[in-house]
Amino acid sequence: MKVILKDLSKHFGEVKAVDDLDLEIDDGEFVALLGPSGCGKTTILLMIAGIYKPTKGLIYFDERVVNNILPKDRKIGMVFQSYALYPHMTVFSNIVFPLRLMKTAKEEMKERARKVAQLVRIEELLDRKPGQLSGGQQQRVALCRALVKEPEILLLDEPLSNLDARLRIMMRSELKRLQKDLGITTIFVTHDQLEALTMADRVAVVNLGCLQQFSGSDELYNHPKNLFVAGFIGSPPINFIDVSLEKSDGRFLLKSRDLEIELPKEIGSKAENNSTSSGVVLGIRPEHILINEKEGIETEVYVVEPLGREILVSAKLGDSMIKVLTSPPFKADMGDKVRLSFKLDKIMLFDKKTEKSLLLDKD
Amino acid sequence: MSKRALLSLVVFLLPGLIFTFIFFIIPAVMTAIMGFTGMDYRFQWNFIGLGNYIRMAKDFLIGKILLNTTVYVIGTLAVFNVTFGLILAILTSSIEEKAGIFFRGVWLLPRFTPPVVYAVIWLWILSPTENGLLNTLRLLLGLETMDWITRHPWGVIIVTNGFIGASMGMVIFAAAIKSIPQDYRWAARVDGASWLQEIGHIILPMIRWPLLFITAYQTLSLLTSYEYILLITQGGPFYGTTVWSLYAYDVAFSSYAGTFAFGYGAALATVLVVIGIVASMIYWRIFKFKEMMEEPKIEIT
Amino acid sequence: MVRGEKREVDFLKIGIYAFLFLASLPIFLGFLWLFIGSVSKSLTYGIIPEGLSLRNWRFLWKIPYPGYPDVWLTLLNTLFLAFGVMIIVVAVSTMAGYVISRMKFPGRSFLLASTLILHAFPAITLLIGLYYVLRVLNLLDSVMGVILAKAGLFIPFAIWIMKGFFDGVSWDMEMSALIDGASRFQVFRKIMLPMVGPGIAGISIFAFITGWSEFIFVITFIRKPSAWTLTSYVNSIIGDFRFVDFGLLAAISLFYVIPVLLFFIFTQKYLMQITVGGLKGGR
Repeated sequence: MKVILKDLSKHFGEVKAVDDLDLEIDDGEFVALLGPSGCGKTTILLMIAGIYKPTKGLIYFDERVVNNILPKDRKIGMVFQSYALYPHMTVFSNIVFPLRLMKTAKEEMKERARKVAQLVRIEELLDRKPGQLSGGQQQRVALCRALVKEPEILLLDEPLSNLDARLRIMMRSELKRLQKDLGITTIFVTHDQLEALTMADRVAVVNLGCLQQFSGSDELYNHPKNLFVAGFIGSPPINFIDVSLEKSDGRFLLKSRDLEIELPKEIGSKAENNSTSSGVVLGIRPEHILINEKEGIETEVYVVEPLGREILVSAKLGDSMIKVLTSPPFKADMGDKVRLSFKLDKIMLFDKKTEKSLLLDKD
Repeated sequence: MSKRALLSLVVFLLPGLIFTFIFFIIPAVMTAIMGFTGMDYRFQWNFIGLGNYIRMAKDFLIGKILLNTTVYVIGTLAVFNVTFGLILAILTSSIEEKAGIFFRGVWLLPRFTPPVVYAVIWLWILSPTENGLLNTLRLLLGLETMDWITRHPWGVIIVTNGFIGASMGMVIFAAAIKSIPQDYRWAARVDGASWLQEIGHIILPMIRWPLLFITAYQTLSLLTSYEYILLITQGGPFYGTTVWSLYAYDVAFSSYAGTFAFGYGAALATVLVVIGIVASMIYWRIFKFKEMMEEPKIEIT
Repeated sequence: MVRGEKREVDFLKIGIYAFLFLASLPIFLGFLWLFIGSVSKSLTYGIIPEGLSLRNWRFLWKIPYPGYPDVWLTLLNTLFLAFGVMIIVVAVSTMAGYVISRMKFPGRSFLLASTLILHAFPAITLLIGLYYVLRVLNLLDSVMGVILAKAGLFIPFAIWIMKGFFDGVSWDMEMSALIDGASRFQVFRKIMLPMVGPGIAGISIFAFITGWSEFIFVITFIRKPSAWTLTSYVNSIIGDFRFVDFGLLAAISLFYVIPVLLFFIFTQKYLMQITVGGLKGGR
């Protein structure tokens, strides 16, 4: 089932939790709503579920407007961050609760419960109470309850955030596989970029109630539309340096007090065409900086953090700190001088005022 | 909101509204109106304007009763409801948890004991004959028996009410102390604080708020409660321990104080009702009750 | 050095225990005396029994003094009062508490504010007005009158408590049930009610004991012996034989207080919760 949000807004008094949001989710797609806490992503999910009424705008399931349809009639399943298992019911009763409300025949109920339980491998837990289960097991039960009524849309609110790190990684791949096997349109909310990037077909980055970018992980990582997306995606985060774009003798130069970089022509002219002023923010990911000790910008090593496979070097450039990801071996100590050079085909440029990328074609 | 939703809302709320209206709002309004009548056992609404309030101003007992009320409220509050409640809370929080819960239970027991039974126990402890517990002790020490209730009516009133009143503060303070993160207390201990310093520098400052709350709340409840006085000293000897609320009760319901002067009694009670309303309003402001009013998160019915 | 300090702490603990024990002595001895006094021929030193006797319990099978009602009828009245208050309070406050806690409707904040203000209001000051209302409703001298008045004044407090318990149920739980296909009413019945079980238990016990122990309303609104509760019974014996028949007083008091003691021992946790919950001001 397709889910389309049109001009969707939700205001709580003066606060605009969601503001004029447009989103089109394809049938069978696995979509993540990603954003910092309080950005409005859960509000969007609850509007799709029918718990909140939109202040303005429409929600379509395929061609049908569902704004006035009660949650129970929307054919959705939902897993909550807290799992919301009913503590006074056994696992079995929890799973078949939706069926019981639909007055399903007993035999069919048992059969369907068994089926979904098998799907996530919790058959042996059916007689227990939620309180006796581990976090991972509870999560599977909640998933079963959401799936048992064979929903057309599956909603997941921070489904992995209450699991420990090891389990989270395991569930990530399991959920992804399950979603593809079942083919149910699935929307999940998360604040964890890694979860969003690894699991979802497309990621909708939301901030302050507004959609920032909606695209696949590669696009999101390599071609962010604006400063927020560039800064939010990526760990360790991207380096931002305030510079100005200057043109002299047909050469494009990025200049600040501490550095001067010459841009390739096509990048420079594109940026110049798109920019509204000369104020530019240069973005460069830590892995796109080379540390070689012969040429480049001179900096001083502030701290070196070995991460195992890679080494994270913080280098001081004037008043700012540049993070560089490099491969071992790296031989320099705190206080040593090192030279950095940026991979020019990987740099990003943003307009300081509008915060929009200067390197994307205008749409 | 759909019609069905509205109906279920009404069904859910109506019983509460009716009860509150008949047994809360109407009696409050009645009491206020009756205060302007000379109503007696014949229950006639003969309005006499401010007559009762003028009578109050001239009542030769009022001065004594005001004084009694002050002694009763401040005495019980200062000695038991706050101070002793706090001591109990701190002490029961300083020993093993199980023992602490046991002692708190012991002190909470009188609050749930029927007042008449509680009074019987104290009448035995304070009995003027040699059957009484205290007089037994005096005899053992070679002293004569004493009529405790007549000789020390205020001591008796404050102690008997205090044994009830201390438990409220104790429970609230103990809960507040328990909610202080252990880290603070460990940090204080690591920094070399003694038990008393820990109380003075960590516990007391962190339970300021409950302290203020209990003081305010218990002032009001002491001001309006009189059942243990009625049971143990009956307000005597000769109005010696009659407090405002008991006086209102006596005037209205006891034949020995007159002839069921409901009008005058209602006027006396109205003063307390007004104090109660004002106090409730003050709580509302000081204790930020408004912040407890969270908005519902589901928008369908 | 370390050992010395350790010993000091132990002294402190012993001191605390001793203090708590001594301070609680009147309560211990009082209840102990009820037991001993009720089954002893006589007591020396106030509390040391001399000879066992059931004479003090004679009120169970015969009327101890002329004019007193049958104690079993009185017990029945007391049970009626306690259960009556309990049932009304629990039913009314659970429904209202849920609506006020979870539903959105016009006038909600007014209702919430009124509950907040009334729950702390000293209801006892309304006694005279209540007397008049009960008289008009022809409910004086009947246990029913006390039940209704007691319940009515208790309800704002109970609603406030129940609201607190409903507030404590996570919204996820309710949202989830709605998505699972339940109506608001089904959510209330199948999910919310079981979830606030401890609150309902607490309010039930609290209301039961409040009704069971009620003093002022009973002695003010009920005069005729056939409608007496145990409070009136004990109160009359106190009035008639203040310091004389301590044996009878101990026995009837014990008879009266035993259910409270049992409740207290087995349900203290709930009672404590309600006591704290009712006064959760300014958090």
